[in-house]
Amino acid sequence: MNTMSEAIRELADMDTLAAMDSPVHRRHPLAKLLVTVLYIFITVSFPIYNLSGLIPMVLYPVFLFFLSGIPISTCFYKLRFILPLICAVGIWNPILNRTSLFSIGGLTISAGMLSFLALLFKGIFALMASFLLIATTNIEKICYALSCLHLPDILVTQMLITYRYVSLLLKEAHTMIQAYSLRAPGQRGLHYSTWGSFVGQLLIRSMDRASRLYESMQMRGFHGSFYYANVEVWKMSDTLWVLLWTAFFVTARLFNLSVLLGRLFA
Amino acid sequence: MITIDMKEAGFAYDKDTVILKDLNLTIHEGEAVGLIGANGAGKSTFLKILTGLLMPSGHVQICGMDVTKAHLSEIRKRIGFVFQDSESQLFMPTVYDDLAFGPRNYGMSREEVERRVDSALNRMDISYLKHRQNYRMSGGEKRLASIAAILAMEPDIILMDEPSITLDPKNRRNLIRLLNDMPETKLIASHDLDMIMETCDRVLLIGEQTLLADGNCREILTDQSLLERCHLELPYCLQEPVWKPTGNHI
Ligand SMILES: Nc1ncnc2c1ncn2[C@@H]1O[C@H](COP(=O)(O)OP(=O)(O)OP(=O)(O)O)[C@@H](O)[C@H]1O
Ligand SMILES: [Mg+2]
Repeated sequence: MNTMSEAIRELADMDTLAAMDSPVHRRHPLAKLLVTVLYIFITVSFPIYNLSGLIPMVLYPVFLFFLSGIPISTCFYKLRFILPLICAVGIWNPILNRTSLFSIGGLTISAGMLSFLALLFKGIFALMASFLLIATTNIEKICYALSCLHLPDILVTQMLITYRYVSLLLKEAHTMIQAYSLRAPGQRGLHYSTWGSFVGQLLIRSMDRASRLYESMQMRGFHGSFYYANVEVWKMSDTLWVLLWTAFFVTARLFNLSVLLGRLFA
Repeated sequence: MITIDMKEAGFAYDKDTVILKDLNLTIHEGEAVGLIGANGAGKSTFLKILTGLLMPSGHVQICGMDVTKAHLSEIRKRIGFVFQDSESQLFMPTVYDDLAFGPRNYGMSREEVERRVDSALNRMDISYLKHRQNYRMSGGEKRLASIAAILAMEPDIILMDEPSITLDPKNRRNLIRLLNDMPETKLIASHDLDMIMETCDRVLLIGEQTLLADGNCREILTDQSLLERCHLELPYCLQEPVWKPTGNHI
């Protein structure tokens, strides 16, 4: 029963993180969005056996965690349900592809293991980057960035309202479950005979609340698209932010930085 | 100047569920009017037909404009509506965002938005809630924030549906003081007849699907038989006290 209130809290937690203040939070949302998309694109494009080339890409999320003051543990906690999925996707590689590539201290590394690790890292890096984007930029600002890219208004507003609707649906379900369990003591979960009416009621009630929310928005001048007056203006530092990270990602993709560094110290 | 004008106005969800009918009244600029009636009498419905959230039948004018689709945006610019259920009124992540929502929608500059938000928070005495997440507030705090969100829009006409509900005595007292200081036209629906007595000069009594009485606040709120016919009672301040204060407990 508590999972529901937990879900609501976690959703609200993301808003709390996004409301913090740091040099990353203060970047223009469009700059953050562009860099994140580029980062994910380049990370995913690394060849499947190029694990050493991929490693330097970790610098971006690590640097952002450091700069934004968001604890890395929060990220892994929030992503705890998705991480096993990523592992599951690549888990067959080491078993199916046993061609040995090299050995370190007697441990033979197969092509399958290498590709599994590369896949795992790619997944984790991409997730960390997306997490950092939403943890430092609230949904309104992300939508603002999307509208800067001339995405249709209706799509952006749709996204924003859907996000709000999900939390509303959760809250409504939470209230109903609480009311139910208070009058059904000693019963675990919902009795199957009430599932139908429960879901139906949930839908009607959340629609009703959504329409009341919409009425309240209409009463305050809402006409189908949001205004984002308090978004920061694009500064020189935002241009620099985009340029420097792009330069770093492209360099890391074209040259194997780990190998280069290794040679430097060898 | 007439701000609200109704002639033969009414509202029905469908043919068989007529909620209000035969409403005839005018409200002038700056008037403070109380709206009373039993549960389900149609007070919220009455307020909603003034805003066009429910489309009235008959003739309803706000500041000279008919309540029709064509005028809605202009009418809503003039009207601030505090909903009965503040849970449904607050939809942005924080109190600040919620208060800024209206002014921003009307294209105000960042400085103006900032000024209005701060002044509304000050008037409600809730500056400490400015950056609070709506999700983490008590019922009464949400109420105060939702009233502030309307004040931030600086409307000419303020409609309030049960504004004092869930407020503690001190905040209720503040609200009464605030209402008395406001020069705007006010229409306040409430079961808190004592508050109505302190804030309104005129009262509309709704019952039996229509306007049963419209007149001086004092006259209507002291008419025991009329009130009882409508499932209401005299305001507490006019009733015999059940207990006398003793005040020697500490
Ligand atoms: N969506 C709806 N469909 C049909 N009837 C409705 C609907 N919403 C409300 N009603 C009915 O309309 C009538 C008036 O409701 P309204 O909410 O205006 O009452 P109220 O005077 O504000 O009551 P309260 O003091 O309880 O807030 C009620 O009898 C109610 O049952
Ligand atoms: Mg009501």
